[in-house]
Amino acid sequence: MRTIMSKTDAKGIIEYANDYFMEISGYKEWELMGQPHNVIRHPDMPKSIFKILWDRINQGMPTYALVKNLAKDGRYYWVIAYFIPVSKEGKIINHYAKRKAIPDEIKDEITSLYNMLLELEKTGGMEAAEAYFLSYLEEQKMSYDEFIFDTMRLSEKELKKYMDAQITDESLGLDMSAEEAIKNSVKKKRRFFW
Amino acid sequence: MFEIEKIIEPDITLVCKLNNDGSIGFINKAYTDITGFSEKDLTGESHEIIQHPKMPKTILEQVWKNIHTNEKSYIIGKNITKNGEYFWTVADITNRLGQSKNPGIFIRKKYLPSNIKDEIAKLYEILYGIENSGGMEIAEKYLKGWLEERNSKSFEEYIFNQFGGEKNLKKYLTTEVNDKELFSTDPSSMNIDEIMEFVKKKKRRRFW
Repeated sequence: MRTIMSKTDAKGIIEYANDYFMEISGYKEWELMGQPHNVIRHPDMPKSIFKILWDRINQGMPTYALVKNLAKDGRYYWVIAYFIPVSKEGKIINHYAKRKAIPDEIKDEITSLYNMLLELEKTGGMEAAEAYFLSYLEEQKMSYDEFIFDTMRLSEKELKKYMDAQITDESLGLDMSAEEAIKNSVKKKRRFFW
Repeated sequence: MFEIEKIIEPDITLVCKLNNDGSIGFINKAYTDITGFSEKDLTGESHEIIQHPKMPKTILEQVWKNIHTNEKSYIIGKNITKNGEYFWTVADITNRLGQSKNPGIFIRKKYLPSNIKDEIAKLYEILYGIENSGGMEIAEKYLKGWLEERNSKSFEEYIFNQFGGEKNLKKYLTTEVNDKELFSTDPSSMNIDEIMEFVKKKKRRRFW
C-alpha cells in the first residue's frame, strides 16, 4: 500500500519524487529531477484525457486520473493518480501528485475506453475524442469525478482513504482496511461499462 | 577511498573549534583518537579536510547560512579519518565568533543512531548526484520536497523530529561532555536513555 509521490512546478517540471516513484519508474533521482513529467508518459495514453486533466488542474481543481505510465525500461504501470494544484497569490506554483496501484479488472476496463479514445484521436483529432468522452459523461449524467468513483467502485470518501493509506512502521504491515476496500470494490457492480 | 565505515561509540563526543575563516583552531583528544589525525595535521587547515568529499553542498551551504544567522545550528555530517574510513555524526554548532574570550565556531559531534543514518545516507547520495547532474537549484528543490514529505519545514526541524525535539537533541549532544563551561545545557523532559529509546522506536510515518 505504498504511495508514489511527486511534486512539479506549474509547468510540470519534476522537483521532487519519492523513493517508491524511483523504484517503480526505474529512474534515479538525478535522472528525473528537473525533467518534464511527461518522460513517464506512455504512448497508449489518450491526449484527450491529459487535456481534461490539465484543464481542471489549471483551474485549481484537485483531480483524479487513471494513468498508464512508462517506466525507464519500457514497461508500463497503471495507477490512480490524484493531482493537487497549490497556489500562491492566486497563481499555481506547484502540483503535488499521489498515486496508488489499481486492480487488474479496472486496468482492463479503462484500457478499452482509452483505446477507443486513441482511435478517435487518430481519425478525428484530440477535440473529437474529448468531445466524445465529455458527451458520453453528459449522457450518463455523470461528472468527471463521478466517472472516476464509478470506475473505482469507491465512494469519494473511500477513494480518499485509499489514496492516503500508508505503511506504518510499527507492524511493517499494510493498512488492511484500505487494501480490503480496494479488493472488494472490483466485485461491485458499476453503473455502466464502456 | 572512504568506503569503510568506522564505528564510533555512542558516548564519545568529538569537539572541533573553527576560526572565522573556516580553518581548524582546535580539536579534542577524542577527535585525534577517532580520526587518526594529529592536532598538527589539522590545525590551521580548512575544515573541509575532515569532511567527506561527497557531502552535498545543498546541506553545507544551508548550515553555513545558519551558523552566521543563529547562535546554534545543527548538522548531520559524514566525516573521514586519516585512514580513509568514514563515520556519521550529528552535531551542534555554536557561533561564538562575537565573544571576546575564546571566540570561534564550536562543533560538537556525536554518534548518529543507525536508523537515522540509513535515511540520511540515501538522501545525501541523491543530493550529491543531483548537484552534479542538474545543479544546486534542482537539488535544493528536491530537498524541499523531501522535507515536505517528512512534514518538516527545514532540515534542522527534520533533525529535531528524529530526536523528539530540539531539547532532546541538545540533551543527547551534551551527555558525557566534560567541558561543561563551553556549552550551556537545557533541561529536558527525557533522560538520555529515554531519548535513545525514542529514536529507536520512532515511527517512520510520512505525511504529505
